[in-house]
Amino acid sequence: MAKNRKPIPKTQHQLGVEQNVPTYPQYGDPNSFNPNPTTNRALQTSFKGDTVKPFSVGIQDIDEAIFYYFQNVIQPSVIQNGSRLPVPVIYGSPEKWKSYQKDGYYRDQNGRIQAPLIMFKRNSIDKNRQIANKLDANNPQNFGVFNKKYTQRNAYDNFKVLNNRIPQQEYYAVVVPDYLTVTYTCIAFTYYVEQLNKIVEAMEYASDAYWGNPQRYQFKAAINSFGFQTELVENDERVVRSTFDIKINGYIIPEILQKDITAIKKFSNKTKIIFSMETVSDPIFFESNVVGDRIVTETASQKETKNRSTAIG
Amino acid sequence: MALYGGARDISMFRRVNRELMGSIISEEVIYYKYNVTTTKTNMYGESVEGRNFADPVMLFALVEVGGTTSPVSDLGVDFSWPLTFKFLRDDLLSKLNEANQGQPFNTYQQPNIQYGASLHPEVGDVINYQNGYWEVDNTNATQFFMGKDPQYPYYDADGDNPLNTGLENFGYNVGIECICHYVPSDRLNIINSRM
Repeated sequence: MAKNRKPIPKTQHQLGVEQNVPTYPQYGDPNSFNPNPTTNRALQTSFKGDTVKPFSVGIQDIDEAIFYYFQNVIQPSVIQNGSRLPVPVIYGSPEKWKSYQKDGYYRDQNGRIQAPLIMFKRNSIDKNRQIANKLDANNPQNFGVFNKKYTQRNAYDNFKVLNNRIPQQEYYAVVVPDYLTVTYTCIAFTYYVEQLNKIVEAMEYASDAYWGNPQRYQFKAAINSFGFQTELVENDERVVRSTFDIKINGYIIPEILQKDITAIKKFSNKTKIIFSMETVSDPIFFESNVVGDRIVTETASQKETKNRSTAIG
Repeated sequence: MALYGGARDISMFRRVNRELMGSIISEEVIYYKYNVTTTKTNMYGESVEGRNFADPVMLFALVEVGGTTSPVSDLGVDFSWPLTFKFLRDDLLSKLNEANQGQPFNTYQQPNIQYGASLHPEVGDVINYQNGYWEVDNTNATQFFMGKDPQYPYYDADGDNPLNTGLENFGYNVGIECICHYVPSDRLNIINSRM
């Protein structure tokens, strides 16, 4: 009696494979893929002992680029009480203890915030899919590849030049970044409109440039509009402020476990050993003696010497 | 004609107030009056080039100390300290005023100095107290003894008040309140020019 087995339903993967039927089988199946994907261990290269670390750019790098540009390139300053004052730049809403106890350089003896001051903070991050895409976070397809200039493992030296040896090349693969539009809100706070004008002029001039440390990362920044707030407040100081948004065209390559597992990070080129064809027709080459573990062939000069000695003798 | 609050009463109150504020409470503040003629302003109404004050005047005051607050904003934790300074109005009149004639400043300490600062507190003036600076937001001169201000005796066109004669000798405008907010010291740029 036949065993009455319960049918096992097909997986989505199996169903998908069955649906992939090529229109012209003689030209191959452009949609074919490995129905049983296995890990390619050739691409699982260790970074142990490597001086190059896996490449990553984070959101903090973008924040630092803005900070760097404010402090080292724009260097906003105002004339106050007859002297030029550099305008401190802070990241918005710090912890209370830091704001009050550590950031004493922009406060008076009672802790009142003194002007001028520039504050910026990240407002939003929008994904930009127009430039490039890694296609699938589970199985990234697009990479940027960088060649390592020198590998200690396979150095290119004179010996190898003489022997016509081409060294192995090592490559680092970096998944295509996620392109983002990061928006920052910035507030410039001064005592006087005249001072504010100077800061806004400096910011406007710096717009549409690449902001950041040239030794690290630079991102294109754009400031489209400036808002002004000049008003008298009841029982408080007069407010003179400008608020504007900085739009940064940035990108990130995060350092996360998922990328670490699925993306290619490092690989080598295919090395080749070439055996060239050599033919020998001279029978002398084959007239050889075995000396120990070596085969010693009789050269022409040795043979001539031998012939002469035979003739004399 | 008014019955109470005459010149003799007022004189007694004045003396008692001065003794109380000068010798007992002894809270001193320094009053900086703007010199509006020499302080230049730009088109935004700002004194960017610096502010000029008249010579500072030391006054006895009753200080109504408000609670300090630490309002928070994107810029961080800020500081605010509202204060109300109350001055005896007679102290602010001229030395030549009748109220200040023969009234030595703080009898027990400085007998040779006479009361009378010739000062009119106004919005925007600056008061120094405990190494901090306060800007005057509002002034109140509405504290009348017996409900009368002797400056307004309600004379008619002939200079008489037929119903109540001699009202100018009754009543007393006691003090002036200055309601202030705290100002960061670098804004004013007030520095010691002499010790």
